[in-house]
Amino acid sequence: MAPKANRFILSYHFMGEMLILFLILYPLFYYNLEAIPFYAYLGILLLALICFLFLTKLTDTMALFMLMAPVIFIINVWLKFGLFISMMIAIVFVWRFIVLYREVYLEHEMNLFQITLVLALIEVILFKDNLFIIILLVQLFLLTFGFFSTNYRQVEKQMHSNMKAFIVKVILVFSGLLLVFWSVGSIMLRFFWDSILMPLWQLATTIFISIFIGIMYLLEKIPLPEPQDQNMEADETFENGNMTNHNLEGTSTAEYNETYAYIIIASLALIALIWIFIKYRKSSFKKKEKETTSNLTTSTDTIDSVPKASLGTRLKARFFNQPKHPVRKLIYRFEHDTAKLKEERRSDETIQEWFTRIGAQIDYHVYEQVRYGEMDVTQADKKELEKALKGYIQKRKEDLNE
Amino acid sequence: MNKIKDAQAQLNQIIFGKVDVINLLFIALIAEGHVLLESVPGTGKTKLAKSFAKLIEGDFNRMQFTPDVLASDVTGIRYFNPQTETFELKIGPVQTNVFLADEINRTTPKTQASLLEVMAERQLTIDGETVSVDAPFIVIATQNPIDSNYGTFPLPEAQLDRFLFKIDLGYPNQAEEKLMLQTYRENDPVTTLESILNREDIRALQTEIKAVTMNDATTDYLLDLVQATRNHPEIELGISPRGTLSLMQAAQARALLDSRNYVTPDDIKALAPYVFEHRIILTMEGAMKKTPQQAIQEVLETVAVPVEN
Repeated sequence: MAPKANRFILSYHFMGEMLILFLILYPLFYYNLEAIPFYAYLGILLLALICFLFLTKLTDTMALFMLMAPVIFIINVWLKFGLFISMMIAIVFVWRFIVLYREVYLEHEMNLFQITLVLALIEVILFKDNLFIIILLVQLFLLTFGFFSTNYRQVEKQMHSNMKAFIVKVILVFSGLLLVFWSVGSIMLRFFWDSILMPLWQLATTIFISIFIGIMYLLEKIPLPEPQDQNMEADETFENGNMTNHNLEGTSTAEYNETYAYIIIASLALIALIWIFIKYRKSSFKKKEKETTSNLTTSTDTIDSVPKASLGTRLKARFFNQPKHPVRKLIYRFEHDTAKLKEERRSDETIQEWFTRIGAQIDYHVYEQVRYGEMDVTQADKKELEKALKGYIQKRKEDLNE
Repeated sequence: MNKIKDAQAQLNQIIFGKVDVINLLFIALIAEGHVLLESVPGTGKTKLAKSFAKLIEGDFNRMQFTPDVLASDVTGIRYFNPQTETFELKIGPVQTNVFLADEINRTTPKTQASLLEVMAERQLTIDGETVSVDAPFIVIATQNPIDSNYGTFPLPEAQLDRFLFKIDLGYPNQAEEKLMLQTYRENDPVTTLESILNREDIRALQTEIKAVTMNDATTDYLLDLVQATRNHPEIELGISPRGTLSLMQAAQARALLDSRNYVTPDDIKALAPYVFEHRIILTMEGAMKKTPQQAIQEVLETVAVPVEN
């Protein structure tokens, strides 16, 4: 059975991932359905989550979770999502829940948010729909609220009031953002789209289409259409808005080409963004790791003013500076787990002092070799450490239950 | 490394309940540092130093410091030899491998200062002539607590900074003292002590510690501790760069004795009190409120250890 404390984390991680799935499926909804079924999707997501959580209380057998797939599929079909989309949603829901449920430590908040941000930005340009901003805000709220709620117990008691104030601020800012968006933001956004983004976008697509048609012409695959018509039809496509049926069947060659152009540009933009993101992460990783250490080892202007790493530093470290080495990751997670058991490491404690204090008879030298010796260790050593750490947590939980 | 373990075991049979102190002595030897032993009279400071020296196959000189000891008595003198009718150099007892400066705070500051050069640079300058002192070279000084004794001259900061560790011996507990009585009832075990480590062994270890690494995280931790002593509101004089270096070398030696080729924050944290205590000076207000040990403890509790979170 999954530990109770993890159910909440599991829930908001699952919700976060499935919001991303919605963004991925959006083009399919857009081209196959009359309207975008956001609320229907949210409903089925919540329903599936409740069922999954209920199942976790009953059993650990994965087969039972898999039995949920046909149920979700049937509901999706009933909601007229189409066979393919219904099947996709059912499979991904079950697959991702099982994967997340099996993971003992879930800390993917930042990754989920980054993916949502990138997808929403791409799709907001491609589909010109306010819904993406709403999804982005919902995701931000979900992850922030989830993160702060789960970490509430891990920070010192004196910081609890700060945390409460912060959570209230998050809720207020979220509500404020929604209100501002509904009242002013959407008008501003439309102005931005119509007067700046769209002309630029049309220029880019015209250039790209011209190149595309040129290539096609050279290959003698399709007849060359009139360029003026293309622009007019492109305008019409945008004028018609996002709730119309965009089946490719019956469209003119120009529309067909334009659709291809959109898809290719979007794909290229996506690849470019991913490439830039990976490059940025790689180059900044070492720098960030160094920063973590120096941030965690506080500079002490006065002794009383900085008794421990500040909340901001901890959150920064939590979000941006998670260790990459599997052995370091084990201790990182162990620190979080012991925090839930109120046996967390004090910031001034070495790992030896900490293990001695909590009575954990675990050979930590493997960790020291990796962390301070910057050496690699064997897989067997890693497994042994993992087993010992998990064994300790399990034992402590059993002791507490008794 | 086995020889070090044997030597430590031997010393533990003579000085009871001082495993940590004995370990520190060997760390200082390997880190090429010097040790200041401090405690009330009769707690085994001199015996510990003598026994330690005996374990090392090398030269050992002891000097009892009194107010009338001159600087030239320590370092040496150029004198006129009537037989050869030339000025000759007579080097003092400090040119040895283990030099025991017994009750160093009983001599005058001028004589104390005569040790500065040899302790820091392993060389003596007598009447313009420089003589080097062979490795290994370690000064083990003993002193009585200054507050409890009249006729003492507190060591100046520059002198204290040259000692790697200041170790307070303290009293043994009742069980240890009982064991001591049983052991010393028939004879003094120091008389049967034989040397275990030769000069080559020590030189090899002193070279070996240079290969002990200290990664960025541990280095930053060490530097944060040093900075914390400099920024502590109740510490007037924080740790000097020499102190920083000393702590690093001591940590390397500790790691080597623990059969590791890398330093951990544990090494730093375990040794910091011994390296820092005699190097810091508290403000007047700070001195009224706490001891240097307490101030260092505060520093250690303030600085975050690099683990993961």
